[in-house]
Amino acid sequence: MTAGRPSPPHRASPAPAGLFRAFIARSLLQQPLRSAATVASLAVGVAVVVAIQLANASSVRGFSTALDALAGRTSLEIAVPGVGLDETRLADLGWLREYGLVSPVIDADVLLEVARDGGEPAREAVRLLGVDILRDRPFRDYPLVDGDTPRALTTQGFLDLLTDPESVILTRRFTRRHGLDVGDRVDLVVGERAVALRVAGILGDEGPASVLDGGFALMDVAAAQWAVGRLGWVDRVDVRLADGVDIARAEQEIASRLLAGIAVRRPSSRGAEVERMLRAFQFNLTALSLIALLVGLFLVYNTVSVSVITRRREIGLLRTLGVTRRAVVGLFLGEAGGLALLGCTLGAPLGWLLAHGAVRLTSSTVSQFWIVASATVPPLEPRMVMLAFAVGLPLALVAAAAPAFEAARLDPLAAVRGDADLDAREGLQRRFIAGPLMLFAAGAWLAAQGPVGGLPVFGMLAALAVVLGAGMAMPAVLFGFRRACGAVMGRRLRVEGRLAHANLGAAIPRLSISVAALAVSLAMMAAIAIMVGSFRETVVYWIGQTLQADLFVSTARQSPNADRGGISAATEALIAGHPAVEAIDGFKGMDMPYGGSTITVGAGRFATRLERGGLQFKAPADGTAAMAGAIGRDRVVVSEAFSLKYAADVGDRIRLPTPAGPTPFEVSAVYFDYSSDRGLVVMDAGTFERHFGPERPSGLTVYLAPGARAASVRDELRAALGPERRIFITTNGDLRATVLRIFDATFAITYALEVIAIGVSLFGMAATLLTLVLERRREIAMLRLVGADSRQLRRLIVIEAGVLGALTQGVGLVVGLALSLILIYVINVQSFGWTIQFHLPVGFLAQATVAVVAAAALAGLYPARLAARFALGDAAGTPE
Amino acid sequence: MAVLEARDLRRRYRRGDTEVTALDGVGLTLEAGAFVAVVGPSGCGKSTLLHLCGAMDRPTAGEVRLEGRSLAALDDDALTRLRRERVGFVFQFFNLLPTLTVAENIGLPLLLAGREPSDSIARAGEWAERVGISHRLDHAPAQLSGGEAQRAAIARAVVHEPALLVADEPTGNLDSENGRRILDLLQDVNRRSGVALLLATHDAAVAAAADRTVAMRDGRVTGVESRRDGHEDPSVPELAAAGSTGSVP
Repeated sequence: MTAGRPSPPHRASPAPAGLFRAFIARSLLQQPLRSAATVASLAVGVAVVVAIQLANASSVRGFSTALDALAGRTSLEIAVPGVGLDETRLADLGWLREYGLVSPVIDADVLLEVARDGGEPAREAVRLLGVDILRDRPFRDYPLVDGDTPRALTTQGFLDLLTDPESVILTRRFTRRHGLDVGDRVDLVVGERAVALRVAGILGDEGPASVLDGGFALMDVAAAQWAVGRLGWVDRVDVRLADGVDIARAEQEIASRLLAGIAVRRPSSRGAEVERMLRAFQFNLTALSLIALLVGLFLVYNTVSVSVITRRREIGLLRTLGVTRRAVVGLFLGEAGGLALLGCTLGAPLGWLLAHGAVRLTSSTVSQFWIVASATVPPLEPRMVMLAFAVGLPLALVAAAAPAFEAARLDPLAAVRGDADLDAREGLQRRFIAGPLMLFAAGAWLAAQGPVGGLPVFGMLAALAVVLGAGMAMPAVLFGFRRACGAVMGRRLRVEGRLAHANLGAAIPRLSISVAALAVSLAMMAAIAIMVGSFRETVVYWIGQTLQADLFVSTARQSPNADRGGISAATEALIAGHPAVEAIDGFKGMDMPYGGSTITVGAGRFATRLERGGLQFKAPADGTAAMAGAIGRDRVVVSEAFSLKYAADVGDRIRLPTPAGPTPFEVSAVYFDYSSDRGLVVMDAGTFERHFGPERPSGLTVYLAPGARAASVRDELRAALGPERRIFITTNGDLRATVLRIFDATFAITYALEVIAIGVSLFGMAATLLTLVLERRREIAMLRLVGADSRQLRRLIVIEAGVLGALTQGVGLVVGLALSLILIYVINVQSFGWTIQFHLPVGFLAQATVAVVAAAALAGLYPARLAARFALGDAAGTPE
Repeated sequence: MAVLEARDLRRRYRRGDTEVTALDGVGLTLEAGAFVAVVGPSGCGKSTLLHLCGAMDRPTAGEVRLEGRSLAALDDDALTRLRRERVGFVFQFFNLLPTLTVAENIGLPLLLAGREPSDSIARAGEWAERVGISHRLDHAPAQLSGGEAQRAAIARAVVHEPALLVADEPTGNLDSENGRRILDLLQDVNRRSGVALLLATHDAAVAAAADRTVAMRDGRVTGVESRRDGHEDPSVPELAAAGSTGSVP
């Protein structure tokens, strides 16, 4: 474009600025509602993408920042993964000092309890670091404060603060949140024990205290060992390399000198593991967010198409006046570009606002299943604004390309005479049948391909092919509908039905796109509803099968990693001693790095589990016998997710890190598990103890005698255990309810994204209806003239809208079904390793159908009111 | 009783900042079976007069009575029903609904009035026969010639047996041969069904076919010629002199 400079008259260069202003900009301003609807929908689409990116970044960032702050200046970490280090072996590691400074630490997620006047104490999970302050100060900064002023303290002074084994140093944010001050008491809950501690000092917002929203506690390493029940153990030894030592070389040398089983790694590798764990979840969210954008793009296509269709004569006139084809393309691409610029400008800040909601919805899922991290939305950086434009602008231009080139191909004379109008109204072009068929075939082929780097890339492409195919099939569907339903509509819906049918038939080219946009969002909604419904049914069935025990006993676990401190033998004995208790099974879980990510290695009493039943085996056929055969041997059963992710089948050997070094275990069975996608490896308690030493179980499942009432036994056990032991006992019914509540919360973000997409497309539908009514101004005035009263007009337009809603929902359901199959059998299996049994949530889909048809019909009310106000004189006017 | 009585009709519009007087005190009476042509240059108020008489628009002042019933008291929907039952319209640009077949277009007033579709289409067929387009019943309007489209429009205008047929330049968009045929058809309908025909035209030949011709200029009646006795109506100059109104008995 040649903005700001008048073009010479002979120069019919691509869309001169003056022409753009007169032909496009003015027309956009004259139709503020349609322009605003397009800009708004594009803004929402871009915003959703930005919001999900920000939310994804914030959960990883929250964790990585915390990790960085906690690592401080640590270069390398040394430990037996998942187990820690026996203090007696620390002496053997004296040579580490050749590389730099060394600091052994306790690092645990624990629960702090703060008493409140009259009521349940406040509980908050914090990251506890136990350090030898003399050695640790070069690693991390611990800036003590007195109110708002820094409190200067020598290392000796710091040491004095922490020497009392009951001392804990908390952060300013934590103490302010709970109204604590130096000298106040807090209880640290580990396993079933609560240890009373005294606040010895308060940290300012620097170093480790600056992250996790102040959820950080510092203790002396010995006191921490005692408090968390790890006497004689440290979680790892941190190494700060001396200046000039090359980290890669040092890492290699240290690894070669360490005893078998002990590993060295960089703190950043833990962040990478987390990223890998979250990758599938975030990939799916990103893909879902693109759907909202896709709907926005459909609307850009729609706006430009309508613009081209309604202005054929003007385009013809411009062409006869010497405007080149390139200039025509430029004009309409300029229209899309202008709308997209506005949409992206609004979308970026809107995305930042939406991100707050998305973070709230995703962070609970993230911390429920993967990591404890306090996620906050990062500020809107230029990078994110650029992302908004980088995503929105080119895609909008692509969306507008087809109608823009269609405009350029118009025969000027035919367009001026109005003959070209007929092309848009008549006949179904072959490409609207062949295109969708090809896309569906491509979808089928893509769905059969395997994952790429653990991500369901081809599955997503298959879903995209189906979505695009469905969108492209819309004209054919509308034509088919027009053929099939004319008589029925005329009979059932009287003259208004007849008219609506005729109008819809004529408006197919104009309607196809907005109907397709709505159908695609509805299809995604249906697909997700079917997928989630199937998943939920599968989980309900799985819970029914596996949760056989009557009571579940656990300690104050906040997350899978906060699995420190088990249930004491005394507590187990007390529970076992209850007359109603028939059998007890214990479970111990431990996080372990495996294959570049993190898995959970667990131990249970196989004999009890086999006797009571409950595990559902995927392989081999007789899983029970295989599990029985694993007792007393180095054999394990693995979850389906583990089996799929790490390609471990029955009979395969996997090497797990143990204190004695990597040890091979044979996979004897694969079982279904929907509690975590990270992969579970379970061995018999005896096998576990042989390799990892004696560990108390972190949870117990309790089987009661027939006839015993679970709730009463729970109350009796609670009374017997007393308030001092922090033991949580849940009945089977409560646990099932909790599992389903977590399940539903997990999918809240999914539904939120879909509701946005549907809202956007309903908006688009309303705008299209309005356009249609405005275009038919003369016809509608004619109808009124020959006797259609306002009620009949309203009925006519509402019927049109309702029929469109029903059609789109119908298409949405069919396409949604196809998409749900891809989601269930391809994307879910490849992302999470879950086999889901197909289940159709009929009730929900029926409700959604009624809601969509009603909403679409309502969307017709405003255009209907407008139509009833058209001046009758319009009817007598010229043909165009 | 007269089919149409219009008294002292005034119609003013606002166009931008200025007020335009489209009609300035016009009166008109049509008996059943009458054929009145309104002539005058573009912008003289012909169409406005037809719109007011056909219950399409409301006057700023004055009164229209259709079959003795005053239109002033009727709300929008009542006016619509009145048009549906008692008035028919024909326009220069045929104004058929492009999405309906010819048969559906002709039967539309009956369908809108709630008549059975089969009955409506049968009546449409009868009228198509009378206007000579029965072979075109299942076609789309776009497939018709101009003359055929106007015949369909006439059939639609009378299918519900209205008392008043309003025709605004019905031959204006046709060649002379087709124009003549349409005029013949309108006259035939007027004579055989007794519908009062109020027709606006530029065409002197068309106007000559009417029983009475009303000449207009600048929103006023400037003359009336009655062809039944071949003389100019004597009452007009008096009324015009009495106060810028022209009334035609």
